[in-house]
Order: sequence, then C-alpha cells, then structure tokens
Amino acid sequence: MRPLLHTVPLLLAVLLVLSGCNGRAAVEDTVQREIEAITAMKQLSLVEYRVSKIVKAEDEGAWYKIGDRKILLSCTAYLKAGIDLATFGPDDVDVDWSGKRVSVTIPHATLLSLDMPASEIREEYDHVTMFRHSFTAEERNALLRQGEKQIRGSVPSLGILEKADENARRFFESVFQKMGFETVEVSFR
Amino acid sequence: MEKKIIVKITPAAVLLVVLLLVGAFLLHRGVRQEKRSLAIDDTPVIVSKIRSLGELTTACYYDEMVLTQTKPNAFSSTALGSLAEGLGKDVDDHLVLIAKGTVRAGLDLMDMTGEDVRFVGDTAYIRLPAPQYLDVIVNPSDFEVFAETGKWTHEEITGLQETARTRLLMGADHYGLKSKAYAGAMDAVTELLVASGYTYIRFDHPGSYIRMPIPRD
Repeated sequence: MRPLLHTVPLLLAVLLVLSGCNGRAAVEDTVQREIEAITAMKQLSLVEYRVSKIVKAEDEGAWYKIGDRKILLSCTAYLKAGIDLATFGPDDVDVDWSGKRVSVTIPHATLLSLDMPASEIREEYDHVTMFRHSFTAEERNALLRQGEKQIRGSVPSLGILEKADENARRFFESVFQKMGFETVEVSFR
Repeated sequence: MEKKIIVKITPAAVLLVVLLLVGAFLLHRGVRQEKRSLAIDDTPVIVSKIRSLGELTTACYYDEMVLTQTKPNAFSSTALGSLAEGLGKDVDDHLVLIAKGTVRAGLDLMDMTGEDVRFVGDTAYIRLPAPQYLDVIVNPSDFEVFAETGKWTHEEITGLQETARTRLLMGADHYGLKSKAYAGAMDAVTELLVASGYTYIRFDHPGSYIRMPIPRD
C-alpha cells in the first residue's frame, strides 16, 4: 500500500509536467500557424484571361449495371499571368543617367494564379437512369478537378504567357519613361 | 430422414454462399474500377475575355477549414426517425468538406494616375493606391469530400463551397493581410526605384509619409 501512496503523487507530477508540455506545444503550433498563414511575395500580374469550359462525363457503368449516368457542367476560370519579381534585383537594372538610358532584364511571364470559383460552376444537364445512383459530391468534385487540370494544361496554347510578356515590356517602358529615361531596353532572361 | 435432408441441402448452400461471395467480390471490384475510370471528355477551353492588369501582389494568406452542412431527410421526418433522434441517433444527411484556399493581396497599380508619381532630382514621391484583396482562390482541387450521406444537389454543394471564400476573407482580415500587403508593396517599389538610382523615396499616405534615405553606392 505504501509504494502505491508514493507512486500516485509521482504519477500526478508526471501528468502535470506532460500536460504543461502539451500546452506549450499548442502555443507553439498557434505561433507557427500564424507565421505560415501569411507569406510575403512580389508578383506583378499583367494579364487576366477569363476562360470557360464544359465538363462532360458519361458513365455507362460496368457490365452488371443497368442504365447509365450523364452529367454536363459548365465552368468559368480566371487565369492571371505575369512576372514573379522574387528573383528581380538591382543587378537587373543598368542605369546610364547621363545618356538617359536604362536597360532592364526581367524573367519571362508565368501563370501566377488560376481561380475557378464554385459560384460560376453550373450544372447544365444531369441524367441518371432508374437503376443507377446520382452523382455524389465526391464524384462531381473529381470531375471538376479533371476540368481544372485540363484548363491548367491548356495554358501554353492560350497565348496568355506571350501576352503577359508583351504587357511586361510595355509596363516597364512606361515606368522608366515616367522617371525621365529616354531610351528603355527591356529584355527577358 | 433429417440427416438426408441436411446432406442434400448442404452442397447447394455451399454453392450459393460461394456464388454470393464471388458476386460480392466482382461488384466491389467493379465499383472501385468505376470510381477510378470516371473520366471527362477533352473539351476545348474557350477564352471569353482578356483584360490587361497591373496588379502587384505582395502578401498571401493561406488557410484550411472544415465546412459542414446538415439537412433532414425523408427518414428523419418519420415517426421512426423522430424516435431514433430522440434516442440520440443522428439520422440527418451530412456533407463535410475540407477546404484549403488562398487570399492574395496587394495593390492595383492601374489605379495610380500621373499625379501619384513625381520625380524631383534624386527623390521619388509616390502615393500608392489602397491595398486590396486581389484574389480569393478555392478551386475544385482544394476541396476534399470527407463525409457524405444522403443526396446533395449541385446548388447545395456549391453553396457550401462558397462559404469557404467568406471564411478566408475573414481570416485574412484577422491577420491584417492588407496592411502587410501595403508594407510589402512599399518594399517592392523602393527596391525598383533604388535600383534605378533614386536615393530618397517618399511614400505619401493619407495623413503621413515614410522617408527612406538610402545611400547610393
């Protein structure tokens, strides 16, 4: 009985220490979360393309299933392209004040964001025969994910990156001309 | 007599059980294959609008959240359903989504006019536009359906998904994303102007300004 009486306070002490550790861990998690929640960046978006796409799927099912299912969803996505200025620094600007000349080297445009809002996804058609189950939220989302992937994959053929490069050149020319430079050379890395 | 019947029935029962098991296995495999193979057709991506921008994004907020929607179903409105509910059983339909999204904040440089930028000698005077949320992004790939019971319409699903955007904006407000974006924009503009040879960059805020003396090397 005596060993037990000695053990109980010891166990309580260990529990208290452990609970204290958990508390600190929780605080650290919160701090870590606050740090990670916001990220600093420097991106210059120069063009936005609004695109639309039909997401079409026909599910005839396996041999043992009677009937079929069809769904047609239309969606809109907003693509923004521009320059990531994270790698842009003083070395990329060569200034000649006496000759009023400046040459700037910028990175090529990339896709900076793709936004496919749920509010702009419409169900145009949905047909499910009697012996089949309706499209679930998971199935619908899986189809839309594929649509999103196809939109992302179409970026090189849309011409958005070329348009963003063109706008970047104009943007930097305009900024430096405003500063008083007469000759502005913009080149890409 | 009884023994004879058992002897006659047993092979048939075993065969039936085997057939049922094989059927269940095929059904299970079929359902799994069907889930995997449900693919969309390759339809074209149509560009409906092109807009030139001048948006400087300097801060991004990221968050993950759980979205839950509950609604009564046909069973819960019956007497049996009410009884089950009375006994503490959950009989309603549930849709639980895990969403992750981003809010991008910065300045719309298109809002700046000629009067907002002045260069006098080695000093640049800049009046930046107010910071704003430029994008709130929660795409289909950012959603995961964690639990789903009952039948949910497209409108109900998208309605729940839309709440993610509202919550993201609330989170961004809570963390002061706009003010962080403004500070980041000042840094970015300063870097560009210093690289261009300006020594002093003065930002005019409503009511105040920051002067940044930077030595020219």
